[in-house]
Amino acid sequence: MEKQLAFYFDMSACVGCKACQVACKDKNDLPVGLRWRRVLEYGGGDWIKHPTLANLVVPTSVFAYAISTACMHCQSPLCAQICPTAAITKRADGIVLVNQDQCIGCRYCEWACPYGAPQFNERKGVMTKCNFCEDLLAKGENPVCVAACPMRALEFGDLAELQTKYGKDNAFAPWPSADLTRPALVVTPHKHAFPSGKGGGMILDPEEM
Amino acid sequence: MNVREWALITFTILAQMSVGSFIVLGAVHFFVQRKSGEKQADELSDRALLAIFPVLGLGLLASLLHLGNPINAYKAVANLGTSWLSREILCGVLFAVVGFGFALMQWWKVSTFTVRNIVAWVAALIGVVLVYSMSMVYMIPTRPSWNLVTTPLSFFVTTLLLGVLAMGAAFVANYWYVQRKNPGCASEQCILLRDSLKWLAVASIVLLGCQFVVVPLALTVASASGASASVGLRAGEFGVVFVLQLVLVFLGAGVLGIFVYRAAQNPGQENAMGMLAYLAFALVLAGEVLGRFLFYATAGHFGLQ
Amino acid sequence: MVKNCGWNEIAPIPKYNRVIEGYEDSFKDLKNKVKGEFPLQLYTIHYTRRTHSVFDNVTWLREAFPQELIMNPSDAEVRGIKTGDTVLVTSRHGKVLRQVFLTERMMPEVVTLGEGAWVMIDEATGIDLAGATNILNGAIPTGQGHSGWNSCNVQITKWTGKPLDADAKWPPRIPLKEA
Repeated sequence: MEKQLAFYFDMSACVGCKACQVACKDKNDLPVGLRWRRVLEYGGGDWIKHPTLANLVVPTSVFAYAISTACMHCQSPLCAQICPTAAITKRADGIVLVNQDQCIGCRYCEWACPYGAPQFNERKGVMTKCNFCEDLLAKGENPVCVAACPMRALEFGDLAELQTKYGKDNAFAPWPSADLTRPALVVTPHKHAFPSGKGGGMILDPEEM
Repeated sequence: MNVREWALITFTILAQMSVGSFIVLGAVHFFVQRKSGEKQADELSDRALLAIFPVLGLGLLASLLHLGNPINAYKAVANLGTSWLSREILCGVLFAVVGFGFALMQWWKVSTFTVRNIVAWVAALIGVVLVYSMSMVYMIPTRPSWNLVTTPLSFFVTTLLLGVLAMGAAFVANYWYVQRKNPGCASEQCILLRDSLKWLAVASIVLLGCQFVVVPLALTVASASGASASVGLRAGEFGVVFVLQLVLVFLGAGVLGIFVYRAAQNPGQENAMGMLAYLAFALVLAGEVLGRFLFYATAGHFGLQ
Repeated sequence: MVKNCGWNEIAPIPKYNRVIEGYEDSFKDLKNKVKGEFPLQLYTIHYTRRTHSVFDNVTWLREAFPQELIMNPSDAEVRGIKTGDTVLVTSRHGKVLRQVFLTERMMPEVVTLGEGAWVMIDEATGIDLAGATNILNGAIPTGQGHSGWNSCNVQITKWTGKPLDADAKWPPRIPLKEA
């Protein structure tokens, strides 16, 4: 693979506005329930009773930050490996695509993906996921999530170049360890960001209610 | 729980029961044929053999129900290189074809005994690979409560346990059919029925023992591998279902196994013995279905869902 | 003019001014800190789903931002409430139903709800199903520097009736068609 397209996400700049999520839904006309890109909040900590002043609690360990997560277009995509119809393939430029004409909707990739990227479209009966706006890339335009972000928190490019510019560490909670599928993701962490699996917080996703 | 999960429970249980039944039948036929000759052995097992494949067919049909786009189902063998699911489907279809082919050869006495034997062994081997592939489908890192050595172990124990109990019930049904149609050789068949049920009863108790090793082992290994949430669910929210699973399997395979053995020892108790064999099968099947239900219900997920 | 209407004024130096239906009004006995009938403080936020009330009917925005009642897990625990439960929010002036969302980012004993939702009152019960904060806040005129429309005291209880559907699943409301 000479090239691996990747997303860069600046966690320290993200305000959790979900413009990226809605832009993606708009471009792909996704029904309610499908979120190819979604914004999740990870938070936790506790309020401590003040040692002397009664009725006063202080948020000494409370933390929260937002992440914008989509398909990681992984370097070792487990979804492509286990798909029984070989409907999921990895292109030469690194983009992982679902061929909806080949898909049987068995949802095995949904079980296998550590990032919740493949999502089942009830109406069509097939799996769908972020395609890196490959049609826009072909025209020389940006993916809509990158274009929509008012904080300029999203960028894209070649993984190696982004890593040189921003660093290699991308295993931050609530994302799982990067060792499973080697996601093509470059991250600048939030000041409160915990490494994967740490923090003791919860994914606070009101859309899951 | 949704249709999709019930489709998978049905498919995996019926497919495993079919493979187990085929293997058990093969073993019984081998020993009976050595002791009482081929004709008696065939009379005991041929109908049961034919009955296996419609059941497998039902299971395969059920698996289509869990697909969002079943029209493309034939494409599911396109990734044999890396997908255990592809391999499982290929084995499933092959087992159905070769196994049913053997059953027809056996029924119509096509070719020689040796050739039929070879076909049977090939089918049995494919069946074993089928159960193995089925278990490997679940060995994915994002499902820590499935990704344990106890998953293939428990799939194989279920396969044999259901095979033993299903064939116990099948032999009883076969005997009653034979008794009505052809009283002449009924008494020899009666002896064979009692003998084989005795052995099946012993086998069911041994396999029950295996279950009572594999089930706690699975919980321990799950806890140690960071899948303690799924263990907690079996103690908490699904506690009643879990206890019910264990009780049903214990009653069916263990308690009734002992009664079947005792009834099989003396001639003249065939009716009671038959009823017990049916009941044992029903209880164990129900227990195993609950066990498989829990397997899916307590799955959990590593990473973002 | 402000004084003539009987309203308070802003002092030229920083001073604490008691807010109507603020911290003090959540107690029935302030001195001994005994909480009253409406023990929680509710304040309203400019909710990202809308610009005040504009675009409240856009389904994708309703999906991204479900107009949740946000509270601290410690307050929820004493009421037997979990994230996603439907809760009844009662104030001195009205009642609304909302799904609740728990986060440590909320201070204990304070809750928040986005302002600007389009009112949808259930005729049978008189409860607003959409979570419009104007139903909860009183029409209380206040003096300089305070607003009566963005703070009140509430009590929250778990709703035992039919749970609310997520906002995104509601049939879209198109005003001209409704008229």
